[in-house]
Amino acid sequence: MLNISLQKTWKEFRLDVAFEIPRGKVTALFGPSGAGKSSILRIISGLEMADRGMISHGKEVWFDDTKGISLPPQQRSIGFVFQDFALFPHLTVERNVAFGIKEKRRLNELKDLMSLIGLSGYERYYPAQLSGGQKQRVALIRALARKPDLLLLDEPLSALDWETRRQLQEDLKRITQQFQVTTLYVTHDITEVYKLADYVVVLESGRIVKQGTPEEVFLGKKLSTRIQIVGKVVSIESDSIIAAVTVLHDDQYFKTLIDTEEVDRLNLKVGDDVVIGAKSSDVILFKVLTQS
Amino acid sequence: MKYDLQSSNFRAANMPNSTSPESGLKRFGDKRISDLLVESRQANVNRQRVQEFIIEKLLFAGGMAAILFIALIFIFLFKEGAKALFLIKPIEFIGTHILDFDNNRVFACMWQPVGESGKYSIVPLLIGSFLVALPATVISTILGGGCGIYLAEIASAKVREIVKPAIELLAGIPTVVIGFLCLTLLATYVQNAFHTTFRLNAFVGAIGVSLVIIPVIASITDDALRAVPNELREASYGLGATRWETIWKVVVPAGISGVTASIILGMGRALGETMIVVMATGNAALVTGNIFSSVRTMTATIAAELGAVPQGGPQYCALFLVGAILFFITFVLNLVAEMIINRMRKKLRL
Amino acid sequence: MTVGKRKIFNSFFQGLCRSMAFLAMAVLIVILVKVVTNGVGVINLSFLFKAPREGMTEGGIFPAIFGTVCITMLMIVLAIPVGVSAAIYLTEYAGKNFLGRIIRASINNLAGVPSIVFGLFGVGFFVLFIGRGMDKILGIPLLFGQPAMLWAASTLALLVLPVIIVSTEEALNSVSVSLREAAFALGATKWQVVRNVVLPQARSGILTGAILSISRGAGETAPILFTGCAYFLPRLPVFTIPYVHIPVINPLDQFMELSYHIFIMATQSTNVAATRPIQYGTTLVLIALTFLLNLSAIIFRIYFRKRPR
Repeated sequence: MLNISLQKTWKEFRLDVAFEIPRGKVTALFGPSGAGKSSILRIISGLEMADRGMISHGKEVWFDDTKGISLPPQQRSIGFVFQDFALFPHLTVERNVAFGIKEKRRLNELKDLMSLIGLSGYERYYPAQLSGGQKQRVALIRALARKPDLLLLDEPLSALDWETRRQLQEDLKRITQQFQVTTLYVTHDITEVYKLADYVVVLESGRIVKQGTPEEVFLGKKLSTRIQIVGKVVSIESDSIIAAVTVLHDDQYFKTLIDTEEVDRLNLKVGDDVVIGAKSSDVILFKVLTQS
Repeated sequence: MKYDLQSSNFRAANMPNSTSPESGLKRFGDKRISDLLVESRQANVNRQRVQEFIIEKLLFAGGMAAILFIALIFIFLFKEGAKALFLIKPIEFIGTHILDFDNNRVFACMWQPVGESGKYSIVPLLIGSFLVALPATVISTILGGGCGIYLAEIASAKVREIVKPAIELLAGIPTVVIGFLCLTLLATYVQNAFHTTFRLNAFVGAIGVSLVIIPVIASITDDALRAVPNELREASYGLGATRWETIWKVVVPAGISGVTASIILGMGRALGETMIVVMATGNAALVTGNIFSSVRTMTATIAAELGAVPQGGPQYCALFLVGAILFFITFVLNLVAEMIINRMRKKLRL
Repeated sequence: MTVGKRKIFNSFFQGLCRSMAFLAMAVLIVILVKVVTNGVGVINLSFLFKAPREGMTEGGIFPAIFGTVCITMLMIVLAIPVGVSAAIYLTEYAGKNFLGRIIRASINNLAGVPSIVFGLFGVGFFVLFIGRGMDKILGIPLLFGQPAMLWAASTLALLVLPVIIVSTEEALNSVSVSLREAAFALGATKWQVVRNVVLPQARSGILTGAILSISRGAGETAPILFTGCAYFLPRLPVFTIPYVHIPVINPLDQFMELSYHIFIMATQSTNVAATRPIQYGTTLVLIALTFLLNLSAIIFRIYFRKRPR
C-alpha cells in the first residue's frame, strides 16, 4: 500500500492531493493535460519535491516534510517509464535494461527479460535502430528489471501511433500482471483506463475529483453487462424518437440505437467517450471462416 | 545474505503453463526477498553516500579553481604592481620634468626605463595601445559586423556551412603568424601605398589585430542576430519591407545588445593583443596622434622588456603595474560586455 | 523613398555584407597561400627532423616541434581534469545558484584576460612564488624556481581552461534532461548518472574542446615568453632515467617552441633577412599544425551535431 498526500504550489498552479495506491494493482491517474498528473509521478519518484505532505510505502517513509525526510530517487524502489522512452542512446538495448540492475549476479536474467518483451535477438541493437513500440517495451522492461516496489508509467503510449498503441496495451496488461507490481499509470485516454486499470483516480486542475473502479467513476454504477466497449462518439443521427449513435473503438465502428430523449438527458455530443454495454442474452456469435 | 535470486524466477514466469497471477504474486510478495533487497539497498546506500560526497567535493574543487586563479591573478599583478608605487613616485607614471635642448625644464611623458633616472610615464603606452586598438575595433566592427549579418541573415545554409568554419579557421591562426606576415609583407604594402615614414606603425598593427577580432565580432553578432525571433522578421516582411530594411531596421536593433557586447569584447581583445603589435608597430614609445607613426603598446612593452629585467627592480615592478592596468581595463570591458549579454538573455526570454 | 531606390538599397547593402564575408575568407586564403608558397621550399625531412646549425641560420626546427608537442601535451594533461570537473560541477551540481554564478563570471573574466597578463602571472606566481617557494622548502639550490616547461605548461593550461570549461559545459547541457531523470528513476546516484549517462554522450563535445584548446595553446606565444621558452638549446628537454636508460621528457627543463621560434627569428636573430625562408618554413609547420587541429575540431562538431540523438 502506498500512501500519498502532497501539496505543492507553482506560480499559478496548486497541487493538493491525497490518495492510496493498492498493492499489486494497477491504478490509473486520469485527467486532462495540465491537471498535474505528471507532477505527481515526478514527486513520488523523487525527481521533484513537494512543499508539504507525506509519501510512504508500507513502513518505509519516502517523503515527510514535517520530519524533513526526502529520500533521493535512487533510494526509493521505483521503476519509471517515460512518455518519450528516455532510452540511453549510447547504450545497447541490453545495457539499457541492465542499467537499473545493481546486483551483478542478476545479470543472467537479462535473457529472460528480453524474451518476456519479445525482443530476443535485439540485445546488441541501439535504441535508434528500434521502432517506437520496441523502444517503449525496452523502457518498460528496463523499469521492471530492478524489481521495483512501485512502477510509474507516465503516458507511456501517447508518443506511439494508434496501431502500436493497441498492441502495447495488451503487452502492458500481460507484463504488469505477470510481475504483480503495484503500478501507477498516468493517462488521458479513457480506453486505456478501462483496459488496464483496476482502480482510477480522476484529477482536475491539481485536485482529485473522483476515485474508484473505472465503472464506479465513469458510469456511477456497476454494470452487469457481459460486453463493454469504450469508444468515442463519431456521429449522432437523431429524429424525434430514436437516435443512431456511431461509436469508434480502436478501428471498429459500432452503431447502436437509443432514445432521442436519452441523448438529450446525457447531453451526448460527438467526441464524447461512451461505454457500449451488451447483456449476454442478445449477443450473437459467428465463427470466422478461415480460408484453407 | 545467501539467498540467490535465480534466473528461473523469470523463466518460470514466462512459461505459458505456469503463468497464473497467483504464483507471480507469491514470488514478488515474498517477504524474504523483499526484506533482503531492502537490506542490501541500505548497505549500498552508506557506501554510496561517502563516495558521492568525495566526488562532489572534488568536482567542487575544480569549479573553485576558476575563482582561485582569477583571484590569484588579481593578487599577484597588483602586489607586484603596488611595489612600483613605492619605488617610483606616482607622478612619474604620468611624466617627469626634463631639460629640453634649450635647457628649459619641461614636463614630458616618456617611457625610458633604463638606468638610474629611468622614466616611467605610461602615457605613451596608453596612447600606443589605443592608437592600435581603436582603429582595429572600427575596422573589425565594419567587417566583422558585415560578416555576422551575412552569416545570420543573408547566407544560405550551404554557404553558411562553408563561410562559418572559414571564419573560425581565421580565428585559429596563431597571432605570431599574423604578426610575422604583417612584419614581412603588409608593412611593405602599406609603406608603398601611403609613403609612411615608419615602415612599422600603428596602422599596420591595427590591420593585423583586426584580423584577430573580426572572427570574434562576426561570431557573436551571428549568434545575437540568430537569437532574434523569426516573428519579427515575418512581421516586417508582412509590412512590405525589403530584406535589407528588415535587417537594418528590425533585426539589428533587436539584437543590438549582442552586437554591442561583441564590439566591446573585440576591443578588449585588441587592447590585450601582444604578438602582432610587438612585431608590427615599431615599438617606439612616442606621444603621438598619428596613426602612421610607430607606437609602443602596453602589451608590447611587457613582452619586450620583462625578459631582460632584474627581478624586483623598479622597471620589473613598473611592468607589473602596466600589466595590472591592462588587466583592469580588459576586466572592466569584459564585465560591461557580460552585463549587456546577460540583459539581452533576460530580455529575450520574456 | 521610391520603390526603385529601395530595391537598389536592398541589393547594394546585401552585396556589401556578402563582400565583407568573402573578404574575410579571401584574407584567410591569402595568408595560407603566402605562407605555403614562401615556406614550402625549405620543408624537407632534414628541416623537420634536424636541429638548427650555424647560429640558427641553417638546419632544421626539430627541437621546436618537439618542444611544442611536449608543452601542449603537458598543458592538456594539466587543464583537462580541472576544466572538465569544473564544468561538471557547474552543470550538474551548482546549477544557477550564487556560487555557480560567481564561478561562471570568473571563467568569463579568465577568458578575457590578455595572454601577456598570463605571462606576467606565470612569472610572478608559478616561477617565483611556487617554484622558488618549493626550492626554499626543500632547501635546495635553484631547481624549480626558474623558467621551465612545467611552468609554461601551467600558464598555458590556465589560458585554455575557459575554452575547455565552456565547451564541456555546452556538451553536458546538450544531454537531455529526460535521460538524466530516467537514470535517476532507475536508481542511479548523481555521480552514476554523470559517469554512465551524461559523460559518455558528451564525450565528443569534450574532445572538440580539448582539440580546440590544444590548437590555441600551440599557437600562443606571449604566456611562454618568460616562463620557459628558450632562444636556442643545444639538446632536447629530455632526461634519461638512470640504470634503465629510458628517456623521458624533463618538465623542469627549458624548451624551444615553434611560435617563439618564429618570433625570435623574425625580430631578433643575427641575420633576419637571410633566415626568411626558415621563418616561413617554421610558420608553415605551425599553421599546418593548428589548422589540422582546428579543422578536425570543426568537422568533429558538424558530424556530432548531425548525429541523431
